[in-house]
Amino acid sequence: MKFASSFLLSGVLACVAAAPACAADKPLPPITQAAQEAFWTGDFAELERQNAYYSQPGRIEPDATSQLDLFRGGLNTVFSNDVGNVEAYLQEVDRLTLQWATEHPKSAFAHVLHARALYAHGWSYRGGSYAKDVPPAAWQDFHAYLRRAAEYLHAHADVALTDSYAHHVLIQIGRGLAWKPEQLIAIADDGLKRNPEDTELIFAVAFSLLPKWHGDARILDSYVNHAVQQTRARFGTSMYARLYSMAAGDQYGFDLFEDSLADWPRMKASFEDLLARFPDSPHRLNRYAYMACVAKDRQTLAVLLERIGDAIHTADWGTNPERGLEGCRRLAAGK
Amino acid sequence: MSTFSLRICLLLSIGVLAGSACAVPPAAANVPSEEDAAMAQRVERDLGLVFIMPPDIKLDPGLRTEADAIAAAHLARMHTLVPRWIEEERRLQAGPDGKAPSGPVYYAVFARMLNELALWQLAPGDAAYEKATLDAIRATPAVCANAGHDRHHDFLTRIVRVQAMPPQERAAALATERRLLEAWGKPHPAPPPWPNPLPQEAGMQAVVQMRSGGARPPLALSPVLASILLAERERYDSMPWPTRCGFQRWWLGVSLAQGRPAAEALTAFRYGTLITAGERFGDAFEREGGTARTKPRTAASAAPPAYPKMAARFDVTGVTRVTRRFDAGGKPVQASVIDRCIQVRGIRGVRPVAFEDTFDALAVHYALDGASVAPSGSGPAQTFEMVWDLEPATRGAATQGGKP
Repeated sequence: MKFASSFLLSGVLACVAAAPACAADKPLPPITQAAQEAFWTGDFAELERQNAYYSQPGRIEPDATSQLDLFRGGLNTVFSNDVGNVEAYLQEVDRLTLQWATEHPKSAFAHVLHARALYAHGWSYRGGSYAKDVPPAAWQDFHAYLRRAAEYLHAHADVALTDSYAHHVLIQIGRGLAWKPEQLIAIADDGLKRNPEDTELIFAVAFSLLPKWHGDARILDSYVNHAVQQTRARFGTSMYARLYSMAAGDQYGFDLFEDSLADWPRMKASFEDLLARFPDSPHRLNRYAYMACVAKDRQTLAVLLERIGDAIHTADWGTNPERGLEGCRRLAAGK
Repeated sequence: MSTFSLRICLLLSIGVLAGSACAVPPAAANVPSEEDAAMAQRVERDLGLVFIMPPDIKLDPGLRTEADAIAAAHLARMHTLVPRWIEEERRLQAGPDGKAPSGPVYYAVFARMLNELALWQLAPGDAAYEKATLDAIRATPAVCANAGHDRHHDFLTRIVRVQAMPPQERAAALATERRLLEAWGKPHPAPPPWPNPLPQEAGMQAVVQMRSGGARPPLALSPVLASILLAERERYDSMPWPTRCGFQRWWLGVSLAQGRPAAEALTAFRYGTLITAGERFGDAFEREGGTARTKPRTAASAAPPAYPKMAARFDVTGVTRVTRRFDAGGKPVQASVIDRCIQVRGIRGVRPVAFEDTFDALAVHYALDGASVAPSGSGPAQTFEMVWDLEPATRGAATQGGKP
C-alpha cells in the first residue's frame, strides 16, 4: 500500500525572494552572505552585532582581506539590488534605515547605514556609465542625494563618527562630490584613529585619487607612500603592492608602470612582504604573478607560475583574465 | 448586498491514478493488523519529519538538546496514540460487513494528525509565554528563518523562537512547549476564529496604498519585502514561507503600532503563518498523474472551479462565504472569504483548522474572475456562499477532475 508522502517535498526558495545575489551568481563569502541576509530581512540587531564584531582588532582573513570589508560587501549587495522599480525600493530602504536610526539614536552604525542608503539612492541616478553618458538631470539628483547623505552625517557626527564606517561613507560621498584630495585623506586619517585596521578607508581614498576621479599619478603616489607609513606597524610594506595592484585593476592596467609612479622592484619587495605575512593566499600569489607579468618581469613571473602550479585564480589575471593568463604564460615561456 | 449560493460537487470519479504516489488499492477483504501497523508507521514517519531539528538551524547546543528531548517524548506519545486513532477510524468507517477500506482510514488519521499540528500552531500559552513569544517575534526577524525546510518546519520555528527569547525566559517557554504537545489527542478548546480580514489581506491593502503613494503604515518594509512587493509588485502568495512570515512580522508591528490588542495581533500572526494542509502539500495532489492544476479561468468563464484533488482525497467538504466588491462598471475588484464551515473525515469535536482554508483561493479566484459581472441589483458589494460537496462515490478518491 502506498500513501501520500508529500510531506517529504521540500520547498525551494524562489530566486525573487532569495537574497539579491541570486543562485546563478558566484557564492558569496560567508561573512558577506550573513551580512546580506541580516540586512535583506531587516535584522538590525544582527547587523549591529556583526558590525561590532568585525570592527574588533585582528579580524583579518588569511589573505589579508579585512573582515569588515567582507561584511560591508554584504550590505552593498542589498543597496545595489537590481530590481524593477528601483525608486520604490530605494525609498523604502531610505525609510527603513532612517527608522532604525530614529529607534537607535546612540548607534553610530544605524546613522551611517542611513547615510549609506542615501548615497546608494544618489548613485541609482548616476548609474555606472561614463560621466559623459549621464543626463544633466540625473547629475542634479545624484549630487542632491550625496549632499543629503553628507548633511545627515554632519548632523549626527557626534555619534556617527565614532564608527570608521562613517569615514568610509564620507570618502565615498566626497569622491562623488569632488572633494579635494587633502580633505579625503584627512577623513581617512581620522577614521584610522578610530579603527587602525579599517584599511578600506585607505583603499577608498586611493581609488578616489585615480586620474579617472579627481587625482593624478603624483597625488596617488604620494598617498600610497603615506599609507605605507601609516600601516607599517601592522602590515609592513605590503600596502604598497596592494594599493598599486588596485590602481592597475581599476585604471592603469598593463600601463601601470608607464603611466603611474609605481615602481616594480619596490612593488615586488612589497608582495614578498605581503606573502611572508599572509602565506596561505593563492589569491595574493596569483595577483603577484599577474603584476610581474604587467611589469614584464619574465623571470619572476616564471618562478611564480611554477609556485602557483594548479592553484590558478583566474579572476586575478586582469579584466580579460583567461586571455590575460594565456598571454602571461607565453611571456613566461619566452614566446 | 445580495447573496447567492453556489453548489460545487464532484459528481464522478474518473478513476484512481494507478501507480501514483497517492494511489490507494481497493480495500482488502480482511485487513491484517500488520497493515494497520504499517499505516501507523507511515503516519509517524511523516510526523517525525516535523520533529527533526536540522543541523543547519543555528541553535545553542543546550537548547538543541532540550528540543530533541521534547521531540522524542512527543513522538513516543504519538507512537501510542496513532494506532488508537487507526482503530477508532476502522470502527467508525466500518461498513455493513464490519470492514473499513484502508485508504479512507489512512487519510482520516492523516487529517487528524495534520489538524493536531494546526491546532498546536494556534494554541496560546500562559500570559508569560504569550508575552515572550510576541517580544521574540517583534524583535527578531530570524524567527522566520527555516533554512529551506518548508512544509515541515512547525517545531523548528517554535524552537528558533524560544532561542530568540532572553535566556532567563527559555526554561518556562520550553515547559509550555511540552504542555502544548501533551494536549494532542485530548479535547481541545475552540481555536480562535479566523481573522477577518486575514492579516495578509489587510497588510497587502496597505501595500497597495504604498504603491500608489497613499497613506503609509508607521513601519517600513524590510529590503526583501520592498523588493518583492513595491519594486516588483509581486503577489503575497508568490513569496516563499519565510518571506511571508517576514511580512506577517511587519504587519504584526504595524497592528500593534496602530493600537491593536497584543493577543489579537498575535492570533492574526499565528493564522497568517499557519501551515495548513494546503500549504503543506502545495500542488502535489494536483500534479500527480501528470495532470496540471486547474488553470486560472478567464473572466469570461462562469464555470465554477474544479474540486481540489487534495480536498477530494481527504474528504473535505463544507461552505465558504465570500464577499466581493464591484467597481462602477459592475466588475469585481476585491474579494475575500469571510467565513468557513468545513468538515473533514477523521476530525471530530473540533474545527478542522488545518483544512478550513482549502477552498479560499479558489473561492476568491472564482469571485473575481469566474462570475465577472455583478448580478443586477447586487449593489457595490455582494456576499455569496460556495458549497463544496462530494458525491459518495468520490469520497477519498483520487480523481482527474470533475464537473460542476
